Amino acid sequence: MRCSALAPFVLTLALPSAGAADALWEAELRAGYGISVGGAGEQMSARPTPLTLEASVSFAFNEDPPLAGYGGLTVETLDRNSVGAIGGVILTPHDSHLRLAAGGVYIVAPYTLWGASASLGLCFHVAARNKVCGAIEATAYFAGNDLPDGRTATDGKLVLGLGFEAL
Amino acid sequence: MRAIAAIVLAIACAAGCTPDLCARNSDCATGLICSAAGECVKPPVDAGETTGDGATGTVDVAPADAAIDGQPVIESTPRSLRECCAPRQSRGLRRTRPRAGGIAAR
Repeated sequence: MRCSALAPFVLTLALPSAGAADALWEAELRAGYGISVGGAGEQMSARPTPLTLEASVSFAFNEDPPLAGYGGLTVETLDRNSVGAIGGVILTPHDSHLRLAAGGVYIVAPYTLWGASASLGLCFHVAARNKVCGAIEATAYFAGNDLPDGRTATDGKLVLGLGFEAL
Repeated sequence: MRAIAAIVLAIACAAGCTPDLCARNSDCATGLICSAAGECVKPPVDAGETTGDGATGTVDVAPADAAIDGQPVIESTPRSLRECCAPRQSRGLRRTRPRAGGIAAR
């Protein structure tokens, strides 16, 4: 891959954000889609993930480093239907567009799945209290009755989100 | 944006394209489950359930269930009924006795 292709991405990370005050509370709607990989070797599978829709609320609980906890609901749809809960921690460095998140996923019904997720993304304010976010997210499912014995599944997704800041 | 698309494509190519293999049970069609080998297969028949060809699975009875208070249990009695009515069974109230009409008492 040519280095020039990555230049705009790296430049965006280096540029400081507009310097808006960090919100205490924030609501976010996210949609994610990507590739799901399971197994290993010749038995490795790769197929599209379900479309995931998430609604979450985050609360800033630490100023330096700027950390926020989040929790919410997640829905898998498109080729199946399931509902679950998400939760974790978000790091948004001061004066930066960067957004790092790590957390867990628990699909409740109609089957169960336990997973851990991590994401790296960017957020841009499109209005005083609204922002658009994009991220690359990896989720590893390691337990639950939706997994065959001895297998795990890992999703790699592109996520787009809309954030609504409050307070 | 082109860089992100290239990364996603690289992940897809590295993993290979095997759409017939599954990673989760919900990847399979209704009535099938994902095997450890990554193939969608019919689930094993539950114990006691009648299969499509008329065969019946075996029923595993734990040693503790084989007798309650020293009395043999009636095989056709459901487990929950056996547990709730065990004292009555010990008093002999659940034994089958032929009625005058020749029908076993329930």
